[in-house]
Amino acid sequence: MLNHRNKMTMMTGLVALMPLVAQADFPDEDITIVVGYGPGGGTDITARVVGRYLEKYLDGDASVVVKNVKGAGGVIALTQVSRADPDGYTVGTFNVPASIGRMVDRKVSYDLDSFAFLSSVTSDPNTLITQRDDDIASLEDLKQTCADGGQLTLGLAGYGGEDHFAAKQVESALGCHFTYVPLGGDGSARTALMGGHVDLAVVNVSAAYNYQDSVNFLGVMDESRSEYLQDVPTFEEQGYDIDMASTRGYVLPKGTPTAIVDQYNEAFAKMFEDPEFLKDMSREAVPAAYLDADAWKGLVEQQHQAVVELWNRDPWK
Amino acid sequence: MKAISKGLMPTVVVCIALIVASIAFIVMGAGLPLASAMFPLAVLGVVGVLSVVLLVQSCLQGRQREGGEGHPESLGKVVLGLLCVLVYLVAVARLGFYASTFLMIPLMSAAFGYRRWERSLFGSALFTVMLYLLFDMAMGRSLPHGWLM
Amino acid sequence: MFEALWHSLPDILSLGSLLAVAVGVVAGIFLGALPGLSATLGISVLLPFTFGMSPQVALGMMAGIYNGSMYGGAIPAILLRIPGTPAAVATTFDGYPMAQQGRANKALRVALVSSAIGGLASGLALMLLAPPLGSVTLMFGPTEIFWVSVFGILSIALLIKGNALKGLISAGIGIFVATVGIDPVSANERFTFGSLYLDDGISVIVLLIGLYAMPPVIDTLVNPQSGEESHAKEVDDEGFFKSLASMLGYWKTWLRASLIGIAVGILPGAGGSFGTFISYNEAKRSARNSEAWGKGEPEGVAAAETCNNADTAASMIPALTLGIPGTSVAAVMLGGFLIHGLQPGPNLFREHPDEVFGFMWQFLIASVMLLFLGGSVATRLFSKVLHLPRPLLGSIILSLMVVGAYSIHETLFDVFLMFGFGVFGYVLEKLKFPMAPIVLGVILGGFMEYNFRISMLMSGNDPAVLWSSAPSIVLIAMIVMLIVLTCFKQRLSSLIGKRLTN
Repeated sequence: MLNHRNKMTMMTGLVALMPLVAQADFPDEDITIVVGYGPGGGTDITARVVGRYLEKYLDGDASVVVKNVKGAGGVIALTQVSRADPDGYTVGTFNVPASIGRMVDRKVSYDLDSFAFLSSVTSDPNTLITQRDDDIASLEDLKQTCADGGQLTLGLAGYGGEDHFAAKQVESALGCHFTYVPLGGDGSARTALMGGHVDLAVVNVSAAYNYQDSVNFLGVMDESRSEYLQDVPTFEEQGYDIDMASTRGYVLPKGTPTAIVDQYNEAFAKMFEDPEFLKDMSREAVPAAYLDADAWKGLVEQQHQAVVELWNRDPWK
Repeated sequence: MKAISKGLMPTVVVCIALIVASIAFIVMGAGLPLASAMFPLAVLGVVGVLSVVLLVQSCLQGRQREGGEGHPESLGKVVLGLLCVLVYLVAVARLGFYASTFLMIPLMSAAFGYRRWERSLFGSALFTVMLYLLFDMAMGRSLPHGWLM
Repeated sequence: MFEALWHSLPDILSLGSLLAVAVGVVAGIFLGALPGLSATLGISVLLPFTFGMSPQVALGMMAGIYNGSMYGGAIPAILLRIPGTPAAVATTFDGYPMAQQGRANKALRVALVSSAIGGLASGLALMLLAPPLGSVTLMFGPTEIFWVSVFGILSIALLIKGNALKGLISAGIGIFVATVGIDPVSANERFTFGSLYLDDGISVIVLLIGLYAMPPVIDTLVNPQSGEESHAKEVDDEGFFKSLASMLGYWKTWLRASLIGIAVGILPGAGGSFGTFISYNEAKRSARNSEAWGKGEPEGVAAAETCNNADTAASMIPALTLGIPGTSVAAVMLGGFLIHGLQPGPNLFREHPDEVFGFMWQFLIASVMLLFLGGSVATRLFSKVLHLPRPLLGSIILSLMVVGAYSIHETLFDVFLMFGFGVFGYVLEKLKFPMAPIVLGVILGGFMEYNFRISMLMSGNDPAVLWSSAPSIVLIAMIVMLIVLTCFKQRLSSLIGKRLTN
């Protein structure tokens, strides 16, 4: 029987050996992507597509399984990932800025330093919409209505997400004051607008572009026009510096050996050169957009700062 | 006299528990912003008031009614049953689902009167293996794993 | 449109597609019948595998699972008084008494035929009326949905038998449980004790398993030789076709329950399951022998089971036309559509007619198959369950309860929460507090609060918004009518009662 000290020495030895072993033949067992949302949602479907291409480009014969750990806006899943063994076999999904919003408005046991940020794979810009036959058909109209003291209700998925942050920016840029109506999801916000129950809505492009017959797009909050909405000008074109999108990326627990992190990043880069992957992503109508680890980490930090500032100035709960 | 208190007691205890719980939750929710707190506190208030009314009602009626509810003599057995269930749940958390279920089915059956061991062991093994094949193998959804399996 | 319907038919009648529907139906019956397992779980498990399947096969299997599970939920509801799904709670009211009287097979047949009829009605609604009904969904904003939930809450009051105080307390407990978690309107944590696992609220399934399954499990354990052996003996086993003939008189109930199921199904967010309570109450209200209801009236089973299948396809209508699913099952099924690149919206029907119309056919086929597959599975397999020695049966159900509670979020927290509700449920049950109002309270409580507060937000706290739209006024009129009629009927019957005794 081993005594405690011997066990400890063995463990330390094993831990010291682990990176070497891992470098030699990673991956040699199943990789789990822990998704913080339920099956069938956008984050889940994206993760399942990405999982299949990770299998292909990680150069091992391990398979990738998706595990849905739904709850608390993805916090439970990210807590699990932050506490997982940093061996590269547990990957987390991290949505910007939603996951950042949860770090600010909930008590969480992790921070940005708890993770190694890999790449982000989608970027779904926000758009401001009104009903098709509404008087407000452009940002100019909206600004005018606000100046005339018009009371407007704005539908959105919920507080502390990109739609909320975007709406805040619209408010201050156009001098408006909206009554926020949290409707639980993009689809519900758009539907409430179409039914005439709210005046405006901020939703993701992917949730609205199919409904061009019933919806006016006042602008897309991106640097360039959306491929799904070629005729809709961006906010920047109209003189407002508002960029907001939901990006989905992946993280590993902090302390994962650099060799493995690099292996992942190479796999993500290769994925975006694969036309099959791009085709699969376009079927889900979530705009694929690649940010490498550095660029994405930069975006995460910048957004984090902005969210913290907003929270300190004007907390939403 | 005894019969009366038997029928009366449980309802009284539950009413008091409900009243205490309502008050506790009202205190807990009092710190919330008004818009959030209004609805749950109103509901709790109604539950509390109704419980008081029920308490009074059952105290008044209790004298006329014979204590028919439940079988007081089996109370010990019920508590034992619930404890067994709890032990099983803790075992699921510690030992893992499959091991504890395999053990629980024959043991529980034996404890409560079914002692044909060869049958219950066989049935239990079959059932556990079936669940394993269905969940861990076919559906890729694992049930809790622990020290044993 | 009809051309597109015919065009999609040959593919659907291929062997692969039919087989997929059949497999789905059988799997669904099992998922529904095992307490805690659900169509939502089944379909979400299936989702990753559907990447490799053709859309027809994947969607067909899902349609089968959905239809099968809604009937499957009735099996334990009738045999053991443990509803397999929240939508089967109303089935226990008359189904279990029937089983106790030795008419379990009859109850199962009524449930089966009614489920199939509800499914057919729902499938037809989806096929013929999806776009127009989608625009009905648009008319239903928060105020209208608030009134619908008031309608549902009223049905709690009508459900209560015996001690009204106890019923109201039960309902209050349920409504309170619904408020636990992050408040959806202002994002504050309510009664979560700082636990992340309570942030999203308490799952109605966890509550359902605890409340309904724990008391019978404890009873089977501690009373191994209970007097309920009569269960197993069938008194009026008349054969399938004969009993079918005796059911034809339920046509009014079938029709009414189908309409209620479809109407509730197209409302987003309601979860569908409360429709069965409304349907049960309405059927009971218009029945001549309403005092026999709750004591083993087959028509009560018909009212509940028709309705819970009638919201299956209907809940896909807002999902496909507007991208907002009516039930949690519809939400995962929508995922199945997305995986195959089928985006919900007005273009869906234009761009992918074969898949969408094919899916509608599959819903109809699933209902028909249910009729043939369901009977044999239920009677041959599940009613044998009752012959198991009671302690063995109790421990097997106990392990299934753990499986059910665990697999919703894959956390042990839910398992212990289920135990807590179980102990609570056992105590309440022994003191004759009714369980159904608790479940209905959980389903409707949060829904009602949310829609009321959202209405107030939208109108700037002007209560006039509550009666300012045509649908709202219609709903209010219906509610008033319901109250007046119920009171009137009670008056009338008490008058008659007095006359007779005099």
